[in-house]
Amino acid sequence: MIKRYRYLISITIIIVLFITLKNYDLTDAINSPNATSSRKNALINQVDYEKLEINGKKVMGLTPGREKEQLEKLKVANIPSQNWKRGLEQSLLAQGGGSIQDLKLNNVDSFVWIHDGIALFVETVIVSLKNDQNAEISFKVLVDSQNGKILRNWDQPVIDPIDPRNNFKIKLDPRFHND
Amino acid sequence: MKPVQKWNIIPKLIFPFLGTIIPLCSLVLSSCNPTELTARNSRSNIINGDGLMDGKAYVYEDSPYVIAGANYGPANVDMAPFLSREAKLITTNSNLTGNCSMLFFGYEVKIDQCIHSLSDITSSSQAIPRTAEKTFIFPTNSSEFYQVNALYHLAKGTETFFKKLNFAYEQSQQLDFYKIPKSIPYYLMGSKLFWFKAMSSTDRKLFNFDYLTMYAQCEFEGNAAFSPAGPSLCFGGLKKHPNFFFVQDPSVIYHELGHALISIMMNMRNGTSSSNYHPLRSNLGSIGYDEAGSIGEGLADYFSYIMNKRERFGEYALGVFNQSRPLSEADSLHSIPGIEETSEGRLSYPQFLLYDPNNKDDLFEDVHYAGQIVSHYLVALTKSLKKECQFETEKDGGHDIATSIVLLLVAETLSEIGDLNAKGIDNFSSPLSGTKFFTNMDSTNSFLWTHFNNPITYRRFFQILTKNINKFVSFQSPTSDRIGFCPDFDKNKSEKLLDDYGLLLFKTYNDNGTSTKSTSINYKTVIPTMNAPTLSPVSENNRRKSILISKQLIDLAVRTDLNPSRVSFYIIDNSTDIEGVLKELLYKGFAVPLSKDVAGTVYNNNNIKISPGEVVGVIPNLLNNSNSTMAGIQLLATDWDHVDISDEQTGNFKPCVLDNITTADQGGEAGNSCTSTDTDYKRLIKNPITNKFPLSAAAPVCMVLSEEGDSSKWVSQNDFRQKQGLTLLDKDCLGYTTSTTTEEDFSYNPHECLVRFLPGTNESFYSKIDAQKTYYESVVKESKVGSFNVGNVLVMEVNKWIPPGTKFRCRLRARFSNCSDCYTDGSNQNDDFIDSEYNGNKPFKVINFDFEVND
Repeated sequence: MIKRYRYLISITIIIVLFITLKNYDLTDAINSPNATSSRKNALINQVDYEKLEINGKKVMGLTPGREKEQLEKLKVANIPSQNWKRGLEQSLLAQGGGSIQDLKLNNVDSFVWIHDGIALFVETVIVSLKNDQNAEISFKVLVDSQNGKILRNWDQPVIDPIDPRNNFKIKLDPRFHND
Repeated sequence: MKPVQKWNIIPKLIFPFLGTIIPLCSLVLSSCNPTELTARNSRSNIINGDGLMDGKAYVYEDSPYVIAGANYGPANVDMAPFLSREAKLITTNSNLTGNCSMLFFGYEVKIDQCIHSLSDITSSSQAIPRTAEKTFIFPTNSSEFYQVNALYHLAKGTETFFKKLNFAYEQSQQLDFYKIPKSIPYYLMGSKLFWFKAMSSTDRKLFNFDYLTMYAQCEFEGNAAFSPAGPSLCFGGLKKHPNFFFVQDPSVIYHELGHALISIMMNMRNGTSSSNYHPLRSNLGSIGYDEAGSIGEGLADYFSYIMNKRERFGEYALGVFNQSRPLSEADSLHSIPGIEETSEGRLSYPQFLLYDPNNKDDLFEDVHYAGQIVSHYLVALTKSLKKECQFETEKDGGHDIATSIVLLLVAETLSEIGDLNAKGIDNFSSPLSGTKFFTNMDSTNSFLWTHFNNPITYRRFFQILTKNINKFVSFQSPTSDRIGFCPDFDKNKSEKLLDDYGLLLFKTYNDNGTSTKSTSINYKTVIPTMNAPTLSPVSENNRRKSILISKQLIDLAVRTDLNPSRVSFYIIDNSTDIEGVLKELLYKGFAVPLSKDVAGTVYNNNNIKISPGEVVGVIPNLLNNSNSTMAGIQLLATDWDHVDISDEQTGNFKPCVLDNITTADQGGEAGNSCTSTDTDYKRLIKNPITNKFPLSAAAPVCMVLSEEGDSSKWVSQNDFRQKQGLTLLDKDCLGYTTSTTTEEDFSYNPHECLVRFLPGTNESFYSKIDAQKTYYESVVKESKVGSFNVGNVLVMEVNKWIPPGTKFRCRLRARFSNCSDCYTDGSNQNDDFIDSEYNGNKPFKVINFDFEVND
């Protein structure tokens, strides 16, 4: 019976395999805790020497004039994961100490960043949050695409108060000068 | 308009009577809401289909203070009496959006709908459309009315800016491409970085939106703001005066727009084509007080002067709360005798850094007050150009041409100083390629350099600005056909004016074009057609008010019999204050990567000492041992090249012997890599590919004392955690961040496992320290509030696993703007240090912060 239908079974298996592989998410494979590092590297290193990209992400920080030569030797250390968003969110909420009323993260760019001799997949994120005066402020952060660790922040708002004396102040502890 | 025509034919005899009656009638009529009245009048025009009112509205050209006088207060504000008699064009678009257009040698580059005017963030994101009559006439004082007026003034401001930037661009490009370096890039036309809308395909990679959004009535109590991340402008109000809004004062609109234009000019070089842009952007200013932020405020105030020619800013919106700011010494707001437009009477640095003209006896450290020195200098420069260059005969008294020249100088300066591609110049019309850099260290570390290691201070800004005066204004030479705009305003006059403001803080113009990493490489090395650059010295005869002080005269205060109340460091370890500092940082846009589990404010015990697990604020109490005022003091707790790395497997190091505090007996190293400064900046972290640490790198500032038999040695924190049987794993170190247990953190530094200054709060700034006084005695004690600002504080995390009794030494680096040996050592014709030297100790005084961790 099996012999009789062996061709049909084989074709079915091939079709099922083909469909499964086609729908297989590359990112899931990379992110899987079971993925070995050689497998991870094999999946990551899809280099486009013309566009200066790795896995479709532009590589920033190559020395002008030596881009291709450097790209050939480049290995990216981290592995992108959707966890970065949660990591960043937790970090911001921890700093806000529960006072943040509304937090929005807008992922505007994603690239490979060479810094301190190490290449990392990173995300540029515009953070928008409501401050204690209910005003929305925005700024940008560069975070590790794997864990959401904040690596840089810039484009902070310039705020002009009606009276600069109303700005946040740190009162001097009287114990310092009570002698 | 019809009644006016009627009155015009009335016999002359009636004129004196009309002189009284007309203003009265106008006031009565206008207080009945002129917008609506005129709308009714104008409706017939529209119905007639002549289109004369299309896109128009009645606007207030100026604030109630300027139109109605100083007594017009913030209560029950009604803008109706202040509206123009003729409708003004708001926009040719069918909704409340503005267009941008800049000319490049006659070729127009347009960016349509580059400004959107909205009410506030919570309102619709769609700009309101024209009325059915195709006008923008809405009920006076309505939300729509303010959106219309805000767009009117913003469009006026941007149009002026584009005209002046066009002038700057063309003047800059007309310099001989092959011979003279300049910074405004030729490719600005293609990159479109003359506005926030940059390269069309990548706009969304740089901003939330590819246009500037203006929120005319945003919910930001008592504030106006510019947000580069939007980009957006926000004009708030006050709850206690519900009809009062910042947007009612056009000078405030111009000031906020000024901040936006600074952001544009600083980043003109940071994108060259649709695929080539730097991932970060330059900003002017940090948290709390610093000189970059003060320059930003001064420049924004100056933009208000460009727009309305008045020598005072914020007369209404700030003035009703006694906070308007003068822009020249001639303004009557100055009440201190002796402030006048003479060499002696200028608002000079550092004397007037804390000066609030409205409360002259209450000194206060703030960027807006310190920025007055910048605005006063720029207005004085403009007036000098009008006079010296015979521009005063022009119809407008030379205001347009003189301010255009000043904007050219500012644009050249900001584009050089903000260049994150780190070239500063171009090769003819193309970006300069290759590995030689001429500003901000290199393209990888430029952000760190221009914001921390060689930041924008009064010294750096004015050195470049006046270098550009020499190039564009004063230039004349017997060997060149070229002549500057105004050779009569020569180098001497320029130096004298700068010195009148106490700002001649440099010895040369640093114009010899040396690269950031080698003094033997200059512009000509990479562009052979360039003129051989030479170093122009400042004439020392012109330095009368600008006093320079040696860095050796700054130190930590110590308690003595003479000064028993002096302390070296203020430690803040109460959880409320530290949580307040962290929140303030976040709400000002400075997110810091706090460590999880191993440190936190829950451990703070408020004993004003440093204990395991705490997050503490550290304010060093710096002492000025000189007889002059020190100003622009910066203290860095960032990584730097101060160690000799002995082992590439662990990255463990010996501290370099740099002073008599850390000696060879205590484990210091005087030879090896300690004899030079690393020209390539990189942090001391392990390369995950080679599994090795670099043998030369910038190390964290804090070392730990290791007891080894009879001797004690300063070692790296990584070394200590292994030697002392702590057996701390990476995951128990400060700064180690992962989202799962199996991941590694590749940017973590094991050499700051036990204590570390938080990234983003590892720099502090202090406005000034008077002669023979501490910072506390000069600023905090003198001000009525008696408090520190958040920019004064370094925030440090302390690992909860540190054994009590462990001793640390953190090697901080201090310098200041009026320093004689922080930027040059005098050995090389007073040439400035090259950028890579800011990776070491040479430009700084090392400040040792010693402490013991105890419960």
